[in-house]
Order: sequence, then structure tokens, then C-alpha cells
Amino acid sequence: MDAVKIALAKGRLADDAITLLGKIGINFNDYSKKSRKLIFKDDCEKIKLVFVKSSDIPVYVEKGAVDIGIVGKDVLLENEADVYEILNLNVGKCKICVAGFKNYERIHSRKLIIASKYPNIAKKYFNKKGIFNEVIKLNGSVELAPILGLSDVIVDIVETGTTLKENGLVVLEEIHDISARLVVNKVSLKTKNEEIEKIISGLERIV
Amino acid sequence: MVFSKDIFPEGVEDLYCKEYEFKEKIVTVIKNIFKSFGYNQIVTPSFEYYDLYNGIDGVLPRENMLKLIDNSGRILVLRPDATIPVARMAATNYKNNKEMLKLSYVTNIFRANKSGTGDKREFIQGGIEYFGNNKPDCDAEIIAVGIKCLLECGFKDFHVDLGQVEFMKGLIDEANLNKFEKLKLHNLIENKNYGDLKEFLENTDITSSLKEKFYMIPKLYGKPKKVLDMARELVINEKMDKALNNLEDVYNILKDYDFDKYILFDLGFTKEQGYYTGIMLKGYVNNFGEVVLSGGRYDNLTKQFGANKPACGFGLNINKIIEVMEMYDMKRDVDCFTDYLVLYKENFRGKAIKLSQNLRDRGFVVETNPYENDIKFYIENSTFRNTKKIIEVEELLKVINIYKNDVKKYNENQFYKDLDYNEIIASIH
Repeated sequence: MDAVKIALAKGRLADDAITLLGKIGINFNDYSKKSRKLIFKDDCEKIKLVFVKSSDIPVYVEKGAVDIGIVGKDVLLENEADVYEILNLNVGKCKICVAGFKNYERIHSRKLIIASKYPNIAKKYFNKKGIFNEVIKLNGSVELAPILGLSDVIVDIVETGTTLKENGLVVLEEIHDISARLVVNKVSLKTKNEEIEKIISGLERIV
Repeated sequence: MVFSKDIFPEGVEDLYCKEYEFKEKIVTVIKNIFKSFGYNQIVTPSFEYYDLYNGIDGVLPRENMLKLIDNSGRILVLRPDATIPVARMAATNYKNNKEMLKLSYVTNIFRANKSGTGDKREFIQGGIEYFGNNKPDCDAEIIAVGIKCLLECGFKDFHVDLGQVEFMKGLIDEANLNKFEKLKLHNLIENKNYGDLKEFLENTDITSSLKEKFYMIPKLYGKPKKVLDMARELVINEKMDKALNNLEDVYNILKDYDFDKYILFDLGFTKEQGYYTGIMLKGYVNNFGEVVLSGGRYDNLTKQFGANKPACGFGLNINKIIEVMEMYDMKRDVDCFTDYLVLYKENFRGKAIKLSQNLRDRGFVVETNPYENDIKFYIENSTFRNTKKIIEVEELLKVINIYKNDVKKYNENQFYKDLDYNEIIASIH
């Protein structure tokens, strides 16, 4: 039987995920945060861990290049993929929010301009509310956009709110709760059922 | 014309030589299977009015259709689905026909997929549609033809997932939900999203016993017997009971085909993903992360065209089949080659052309060309053309065997005698 491949993104979520996998007896002893390796094998060599960019995880799983992915709900909402979203791992919790100046008031006579790393989520949210909008896609330091007058509001992940606060912004609306999800390729779940089911039921017990 | 380097739209490809031969071979295998079960071939137009596809529930999203505008300003769609136009044909041309209609096709499908995904925007699909038969035996035949196709393509490690959309529908009917909530519930079950399913159900006022049943649904997949036993316990109305009986009937018929070993069940398939009304099937090949075969029963589709014919069918994604065969290194037995390249100088042209005609009649692939003293060029080129032998036509025939790297001279009689002899040898082997 071929190894089950799990995709993770480097960062805090990866550490959480590896801890979770460790709890169900899947250990990656050669893994360390500092290592630049992108592929690891577990001690029994039955499971392969690969590191990819988090926004790429949905497509890796959908196309079956890997069998399982552990990824934030924000990424799944932004990059919709045809996968089984089997488990809420309840780690990496945060919220995706609309943020802006505390005293922000919408000017109804013109389009709302939103800056975000998540253009699809932002667009969908405001379209649903029936607000005429324009989304500017940014890749980082989104908080700067309202400050420099690039946008009216931003849509971004908020964990503690510290970054917002330090930049004089507040949460205006909450869009969605975010946490890490276990996603599985729709075919792999059937063809590598035994191995994957073991991982799912193991994790299900501890989350 | 400015010849830009950006000449290719995304998601399309040229297919030539070996790759084309290989595709043709697969198509022939599949067509022969369809024929052997009595399905007649059909081709529908490459494009039809947008309204045809837009008016139908459960077709793919509008933005995924590739559209054209004709000179009267009406919008056309390049065939985004094979079943709908075939159903349209069956319904409009055989409206009062109570007899059974069995149709097969191998056709190109067009989709305006998102860019940067590697998805094909033009691909080949082969499939069958059976109209006018609502027996489980018809469902089983459809599934059996699908399995037969995968077997004849040379796959061993594959399986077909069977579901019954009425089972889920029966359960959802019991829950008092609005349209939006039902859709959400369908999606959660479809994606086996256990975590969010729990959260969603907790926020509704569905009874706790019904909630328990919903929690079980995404787990209802795997070995047929296990799934049936689990599913039986969830049955609370006639619809669900009927659905399970139907699934079991089809499975039992497949036992007689000896195909039950390829079958798994998945009752998490829901109606939301198309026009299906009963049995649904999806075929997977091991280690290949995409569906290669899909279909099901769609009894209501012809109603949208004013007829009333129960129907069942499936489609096989031939591009994906080829991809899997490449992955498993199963591409064999196809070759583009020339048996003989006959070279002549002008005074022997008549003799050379006669010779090549005789050889073609015997079934060989023969090319002819005049040459001067540039035989070396032809020998070099024969590697590229995959030519087996070169014949220089003079008083005698000078046969250069490229594979064996030797040269023999014959007069015509000897040459044919040698040919006959080799044919006998070949037929013995």
C-alpha cells in the first residue's frame, strides 16, 4: 500500500497539527521547525508529510496530489475546492472580520472599497449584504489600507485584535469563525479508506 | 497577421501521432462495448441555445459554460454536458415512443473552467443513456457497462461507488427546514463535513432523534453489506425504505454480472449535485485522485422537454482514463510507423509505384519518394518517421533494413517470395 500523504503549511498551525498527530501515535521524529526539508516520513514510514503554501493545500487535495490536508477554514472559504471537509480540529481558532476606524460610517452615495488578502470572501460577504463594493487584493499589512486611504475597510483574520488596535482599527463586523480543518481527497477516502479512517477516528476522539 | 507567442488558450491541447492513436484505441474499445450491449451511436450539435442549458435545474453553473453569440444576437453554448442534449433529442424526437431507446456517444465537452487550475476546457467524454426503462435491471446494466469499460481498458484496481439520492431526500423531508437551510444541509452532507454538520444541526429545532440520524449519514459509505445494515436502522419513511430496496436490488443484479466485487456504497450522495433522481454512480481508480466515471438515474430530465421517459446513463472521462493509464505506464501496443519507404529515380517510377501499391494491398504502410544521391538523408529521417525498411528501386530491389542495419538485394520475384515466406512465419507466431 502506498503511503498516505498529508499536506501542511509551515507555521504555527503545522506545529499544532504535528502535536495532534503525535497524540494518535503518528510521530515525525526528524521534523523540527528550523528544518528546511519539505518532506518528512513518520517513524513507521506509512505516512508522508509535505509542506506547501497554505493557500495551495485545497488544490493539492482536490487533485489528489496529497490525500489529506490540514488547513484553516479561511483558506477553504477563499479557495473553494471539491474536497471532503471531514473534521473541525478546533485549533488555530480566530475570526475573519471586517475592520476599520472606530467611527467609520459608510458613505452610501458611492461604492464601498475593501482591502483584503481574501478577495473572494470579502466580495461574497458584501454581495450577500447587497452592498455595492470593490475589493482590492493585498498580500500583507492590510491594516495600512484604511490608514493610507486606499480603502474604507479591510477584511482580515483577527486573533487577539492587537495588530488592529496598534494601528487604530477596530472590528466592525464578524464574518466567520475560523479553525483548522482536516480535508480529504474525495477518492482517497475510498481507495485508502482503512488508513485514512484510522487517522480520522483517532483525531475525532481527541479534538 | 501578428503571430503572438501566446497562441494557446488555457485548457486545450494538440493530439497527434502516438497520443492520438492511443486515444483512438481507447475510444474503439469503449465504442465496441457500447455496441455489444445494443446502444446506438448519436451525435448532437456542438453548440445549442443557452436557454436549453440555463432553464434546467442542477446543471453546471452558468459561468462554467463557454458561450458564443450568433449573428441574430442569441447566445449559444458549446456543449457543456452530454446527457442534456441527448435527453433533449430523445424527448423531442421520440415524444410518443413508448419503446426503449438506448443511445451512446463519444463527444467533446467544453467548460469555461477557472484559469490556473490545470482543468481541461475541452475534453472527451464517452457514455450511454438508456431511456424508457425504470427497472433496477436497467440501472445494473448501466453500471455493468461502466465496469466493463474500465476492465477492458486494463484496470484492475478500481471501484464504483453507488448511492441513492432518494435516501437522503427522504430524511431531509422529515426535517422542517427552509429552502436555504436544506441546501446548506445537502452541502454539509455532500462534503462529509461532520464538524460543521453538528454545529448546524444544533442551531436548528430538529428533534434530537432526527439529529442523531443526520450525524450518521456522512459515515454511510464503504462495504455494501455494512452500509445497508447501518442504513436500515435510519429508515423512518417509505421513501427511504424504497431507496434502500432499490439499491439492494441493483447490487444483487450486479452479483449475477460477477461485478459486485467492484462495488462500494456511499449514501452521502445528494440530489443537489445534478438532475439525478435515484441510483448514482462514481468510478475511481486507485491512486488517482479524480472521478473517472459518473452517472445515475434521471427520471425527470425529459419532463423538462415535454416528454416523460425514465432514464439512466453514465459518462466516462476519456482524458482522465488516458491520464491514469499514463500514470500506471499502461500505454502499450500503439505505434506510428512506416513499413516501407520506396525510393526511386525517375526512370523506375512506374515500377516503384506498382510495387508500393502491391505492398499496400498486402496491408503494409508504404511511402514513396523520388531521390537522387541523398539516400543518407532518408536513412537519417527514417528514425524520426519510424520507418522499418527502405527499398531503393533499380534493376534490382535494394532493401535496407533500418532496424537490423543490413542491406539485401532481390529481384522482384525473390522479393515477393521472401515476403510470402515471412508472412507464413508471422502467422505461425
